[in-house]
Amino acid sequence: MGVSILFFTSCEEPFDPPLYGDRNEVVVEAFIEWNPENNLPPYVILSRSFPFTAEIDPQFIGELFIEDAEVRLSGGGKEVLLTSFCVEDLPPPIREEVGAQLGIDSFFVNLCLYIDIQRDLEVQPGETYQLEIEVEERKFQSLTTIPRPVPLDSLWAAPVPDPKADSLAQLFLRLSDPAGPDYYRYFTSVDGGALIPPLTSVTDDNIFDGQQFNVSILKAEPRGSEIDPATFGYFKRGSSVVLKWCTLDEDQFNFWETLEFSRNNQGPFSSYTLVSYNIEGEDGIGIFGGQSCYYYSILIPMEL
Amino acid sequence: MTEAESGEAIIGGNITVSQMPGVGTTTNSYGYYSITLAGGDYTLIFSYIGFENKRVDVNLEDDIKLDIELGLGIDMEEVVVTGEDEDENVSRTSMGVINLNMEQVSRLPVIFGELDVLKTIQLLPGVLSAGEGFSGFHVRGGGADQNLVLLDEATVYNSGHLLGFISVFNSDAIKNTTLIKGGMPPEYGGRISSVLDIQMKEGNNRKFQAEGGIGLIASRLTLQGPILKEKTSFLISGRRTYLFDLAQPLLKGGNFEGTNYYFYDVNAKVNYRFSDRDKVFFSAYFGRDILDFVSGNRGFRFQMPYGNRTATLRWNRTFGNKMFKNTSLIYNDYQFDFEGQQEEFKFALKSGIRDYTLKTDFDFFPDAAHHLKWGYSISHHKLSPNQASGSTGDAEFDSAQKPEYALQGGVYLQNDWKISNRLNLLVGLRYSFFNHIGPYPGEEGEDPLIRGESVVWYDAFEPRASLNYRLNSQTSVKAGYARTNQYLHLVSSSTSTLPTDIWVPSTRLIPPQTGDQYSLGLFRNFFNNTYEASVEVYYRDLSNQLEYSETYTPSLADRLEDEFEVGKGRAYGVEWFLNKRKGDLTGWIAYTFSVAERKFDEINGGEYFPASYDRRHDLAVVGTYSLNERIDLGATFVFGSGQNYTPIEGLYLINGFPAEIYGQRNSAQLPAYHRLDFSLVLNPRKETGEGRFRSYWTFAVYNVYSRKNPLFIYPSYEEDASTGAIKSEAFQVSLFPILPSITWNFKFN
Repeated sequence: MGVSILFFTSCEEPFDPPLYGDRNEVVVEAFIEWNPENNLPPYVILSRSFPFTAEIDPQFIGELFIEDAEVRLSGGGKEVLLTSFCVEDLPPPIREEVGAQLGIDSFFVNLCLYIDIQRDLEVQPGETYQLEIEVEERKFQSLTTIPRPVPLDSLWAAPVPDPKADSLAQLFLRLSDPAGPDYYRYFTSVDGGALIPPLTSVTDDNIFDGQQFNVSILKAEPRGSEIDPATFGYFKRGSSVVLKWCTLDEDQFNFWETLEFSRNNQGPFSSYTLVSYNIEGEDGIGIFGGQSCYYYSILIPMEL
Repeated sequence: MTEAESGEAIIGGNITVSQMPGVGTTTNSYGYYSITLAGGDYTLIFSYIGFENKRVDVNLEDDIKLDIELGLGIDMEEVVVTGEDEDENVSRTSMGVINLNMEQVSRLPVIFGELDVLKTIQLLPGVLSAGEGFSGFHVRGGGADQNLVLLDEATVYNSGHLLGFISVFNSDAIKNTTLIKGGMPPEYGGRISSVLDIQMKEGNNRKFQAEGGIGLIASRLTLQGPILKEKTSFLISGRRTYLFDLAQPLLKGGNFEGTNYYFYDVNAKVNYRFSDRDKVFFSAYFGRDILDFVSGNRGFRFQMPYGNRTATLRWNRTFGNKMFKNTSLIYNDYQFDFEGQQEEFKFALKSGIRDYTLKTDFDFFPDAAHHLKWGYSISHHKLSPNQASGSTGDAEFDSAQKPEYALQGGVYLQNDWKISNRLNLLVGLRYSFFNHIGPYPGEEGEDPLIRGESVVWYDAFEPRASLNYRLNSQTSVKAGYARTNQYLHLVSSSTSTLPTDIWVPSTRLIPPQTGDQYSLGLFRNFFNNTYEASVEVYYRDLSNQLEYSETYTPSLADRLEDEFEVGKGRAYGVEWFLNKRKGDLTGWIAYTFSVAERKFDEINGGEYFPASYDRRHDLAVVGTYSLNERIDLGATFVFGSGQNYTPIEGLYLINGFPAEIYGQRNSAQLPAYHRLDFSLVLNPRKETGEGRFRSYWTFAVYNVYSRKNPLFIYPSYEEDASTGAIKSEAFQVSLFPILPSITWNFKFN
């Protein structure tokens, strides 16, 4: 009834927030991944913060990227200077592959990033890596450790509870969680689309530490798509699905946990939540995260 | 002193001596009084607002016992704002004490047509609402958990039904409500801001009565009457909502069939007088909100029942003619349960708090100048934070959370001392202690503590004092100081009382909260006590305040004590109050200017910031007007500074989507809040009003001019999939537009 009263009586209208001067944060999105195929080089995206009232179109976003920084990664006895490039510089097939890996469906935006293009840095679970960034005489740094990988025991498709919805399926996985703290995140891709995370993509293992169990996973919905409560999180039968299943370092878990909580809880009963960063340096925000991932492909049968 | 019609004890009844102006006393919570005079002839005057005065001539040669019954006043214009003595505002020693009369509450406009004593106290100076429509409240810059809410002495840990929109107090079962926001007397402890002491009716011991009402969302019924005339009586009162029950046929056959929400509560009380000197009371409250949610298509269902339970057994005894004792044995709990299932995945969550309390209080009147009170209380707490369990197929999960236990107690002594006809001093001391006991996981390198082992011990002396100097019969100046300690804490990231709120004990990491309050006031009555006015200023120093860290996200596995920041606070303000108590038009104007700030090393860069309930200006204008014998009108207008919020100063992109950069905590303000409500009570015609069955209608309009008061704002980012552009906007959400309501009430004698 509470919900229905709120639904029937509440109303919303645009609100003009107070204006603030430009903030001057440097935003770091840096990831270093181990996976069995070793097919994703470490990469770093640097951008600037901007006012709430800005017109955020692809050109504006393109101008936010910082292209002239010096970005170094070190670990395992090696140090590499990452190479800066923008996706418009790449031939279209490679561009699409990069997009699919980074979770970007389309390239309205000329994304610029720094990458270990020669794969000089050897990425190994348990190894600690250091990131150093210099932007216009401002210095930022961070550390991360690649967590132990935890593969799935199995992945399968099953019918959804409503017997009439015979064109839909849900995916289940079986996990044997090793003893000790682990932090998980997953992404899904359907029919060759980008690998994208669901709205709540991370979990720790505090309540299932060391256990073996089955759990269903949700199909991640592309941003801006309409959410249909009847089909939300389900997959279409006949579709080809890739599940990217990762363990994260604790800092990266905290980053996504706080960011997703902050995004999903803008409501009457919550106050603001600050995102937990691990970037050192004045006005440096963002994340340098280590992860170990497995990629699983499954073709969902028409008959289940 | 009792009411003649029902035999209910009169609380705060007044006894004065005709021959000796300025000499007198008041009845305590059980209607008991004692007055000591030299031998001789006197005329005693017994009075209580709304009742006829009674004059009794006595010849004092020896101690006498005088039981007094007061009948309802013939002139009903005597029904006034407060149920206290006429010049109590000026003469009472303690400051910041307000009694609420249910008769008055019943004529004010209310949201949903549901009378709610917690909404009425929000109209008083120094008391702020927790938000549009909510029954939660803040007193003098304190958090919602810093109010001690008592129902027949039992602590009510969560006072809200329906996410806090309706309080758990059924006004049909309530006799008296006292709010103490200033100098808390030493008999109260355990909270640092205020005491809201609610007493249930005892039950009519003269005749059987039934009363009730049918409203838009709930109906209620109260039965009371004698079991053995003059010796024992009972009261039972219940209410239940039914809005969703009515919608059940619409859900049949659909995805949500089986979904339902309702709440109910039951108040019951019996008393037995087994001698002239002994009386026993048993009172109980049981309330539950129940939400069942079913989504058949998704194979998902959950049930979420939550609520309070209290039981109080009290024994009153008088010793001689000067001493009164009350011993109470009290049980109370608040329990929140959640059980959900999606196909083979099952999940359960339980949290709650349960207390057993034993307390004894003595009232002693050695002579006309002193009223001594002393007593003790001891409570055993069991606090169960989020205890989660689940299963999926062959695997079972369990959070590591275990119940926590504590002992809490206090002893106190106070003296209300009439030093002279002009000067009164209420002085006292409370000693309180708190012992957190095992099991406790222990710190690194320490063995876990077993059940019963002491984890940490805190204790404190809490001095309290108030002074009243009467400048003349109409005017007094009062000053007060109170130190208070709080050992149980509720830290909420929300602005209201939510069912999921969790109380936590003081632990090694969470020290007790401490408050020091200094207050000064000028009190004056005008025109034969028709108007009463006061100005009070206060300053509060608060230490060991708790907030969640700024990066806190709820997790079932967290030990909550690891998630808090400990800091300090300060609050100050000035409260103006003008109250018209008599005549066809009664009501009050209350204006408060207040500041409430907090400071934590790890929040807001260690700088002071305004609390979320720091609202500088707060005005309430309340009036009821008796148009004629059939029609009573009521209106309230409230105006308050807008709610504080933490502004978004900038954005950044993560994975191509905006995230927020926040500015200084609570440094921005929503637009001001204001609202006008009306009510009309249509009483029965005189000819039908004299029968055994009476009924009347209450019509109310909430938010008459449909002001869109913003409850909160939120940012929204919409991505255009065809162009890649993202539109950032902010929206304000307002809750209640104009809301009419109608209630039919009846009474059967």
